[in-house]
Amino acid sequence: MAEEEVIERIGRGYRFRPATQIGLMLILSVLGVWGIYEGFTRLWPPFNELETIITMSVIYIALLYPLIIKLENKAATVLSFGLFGAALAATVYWLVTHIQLTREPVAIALYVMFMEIVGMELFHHLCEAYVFYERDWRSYLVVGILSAGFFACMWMLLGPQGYGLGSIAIVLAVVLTMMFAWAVLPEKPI
Amino acid sequence: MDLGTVAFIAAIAGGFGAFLALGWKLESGDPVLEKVIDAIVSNFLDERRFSISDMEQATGLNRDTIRKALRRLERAGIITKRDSGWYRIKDPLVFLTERDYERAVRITKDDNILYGAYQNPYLPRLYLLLVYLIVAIDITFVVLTYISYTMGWPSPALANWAIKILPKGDEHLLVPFLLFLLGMGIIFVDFIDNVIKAWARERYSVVVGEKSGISFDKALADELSGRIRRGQIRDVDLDISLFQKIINYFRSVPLGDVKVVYRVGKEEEKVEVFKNMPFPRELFYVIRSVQLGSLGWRKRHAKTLLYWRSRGMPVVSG
Repeated sequence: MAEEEVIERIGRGYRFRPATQIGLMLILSVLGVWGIYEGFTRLWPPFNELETIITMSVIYIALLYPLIIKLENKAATVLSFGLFGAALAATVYWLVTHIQLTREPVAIALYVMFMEIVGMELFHHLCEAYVFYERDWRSYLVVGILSAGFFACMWMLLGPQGYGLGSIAIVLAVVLTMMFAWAVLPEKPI
Repeated sequence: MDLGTVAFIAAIAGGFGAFLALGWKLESGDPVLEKVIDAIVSNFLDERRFSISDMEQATGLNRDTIRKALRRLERAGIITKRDSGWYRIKDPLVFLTERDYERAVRITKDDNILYGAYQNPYLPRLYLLLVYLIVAIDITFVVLTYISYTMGWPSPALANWAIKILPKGDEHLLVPFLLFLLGMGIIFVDFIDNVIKAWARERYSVVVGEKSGISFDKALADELSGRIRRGQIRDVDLDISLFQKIINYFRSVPLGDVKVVYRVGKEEEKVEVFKNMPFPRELFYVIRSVQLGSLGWRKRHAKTLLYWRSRGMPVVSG
């Protein structure tokens, strides 16, 4: 009967105890944020600004959280979603306020592609339970919409408005979009 | 603190709050799903299959509601919809793709598959991790180019070259282009990672069936030609190295080795080691129970396992 604990406590035997996970997360968060503060204040504008330091700290915590916290309870998952939202908002806001914005369509296309990639990769990292590993129409719809956007932006970069590569632009845009789509369509972690 | 910083913090708090609320909504218990899981556990575990009409009778819910809940269980990999309209129940420790699951069922002559998974491709071949060097090189290039552009260090030549290769040599495109390069580096590695996983999936699967024992692939494009019948199993051992133990604290899927000693002929014994298998303790336990013919745990813990796989409710309560 004791062996049945393996099934009763499925997945738990490999992880730190919950208190250790929380403690480790707190220690690494404090150390990381301190390191970011100390490091970035020595840099030049806009990197030594408070907003940049906050953005970097939020992204650091968002990247660290799923590596350390392996609890599968509601609070842990909900917090993970919250961190995804915070990291996304911080990145977008920082880009909008700190990068020299331009109406140049190619520049906008490049920013859109960057945000699509960052958004999807962060989502895979932080909200793993809600990534559609079993592919269905919803996963294909999401990936289809994102890929259409990615293709349009890639066409902007490689086509007449950007590099002007002619028909090769279409081929390259299709190949790179397919690569994007396959990377975004997640493979099972097992 | 100036107004800009306050607005910035408010934006982060807004993003945090909005997604926190979304996560809360998604994580709220689904009574329909719970009812459907209860019905599966109570009525259909032995047959391993059911139809919508069976489920209607067992739950008293209407067809559309049931279909919605079943689709969620399908996505979680707990059930499979057959062409005939029947649903087949998969054991929660089966992590095979649909195609490989069908293959396992076919090869084991419709046996009850208790565990099925692929060996992790990276740990036996650490050189594959070199693919992550692409991101490291990408990040280094982007950072150096940006520093070269803003401070002229180590030399403005790098930034000048980067500007020269931009469309129409437009300097305003440099920063978005560098960000784009950073993103493409991540996408490229993610793409290669998917290729490696798909390749590994072709090669290293291990399947444990209730009656067929252990079946495993021995070579590329193999059809589970490795077999250890349950009567042949002499001993089974779990071996998690220090390295595996450490990385298991941080990876989403825990890994370990499972060693099976089995009899060949009257006296001879052989050893097969399944390296870097997902959820090795559970694999060890499944093999032990197949060896001893003691599968009562499947029913006793069916609900826990189904919820664990469907993420319908927490298993690790913290």
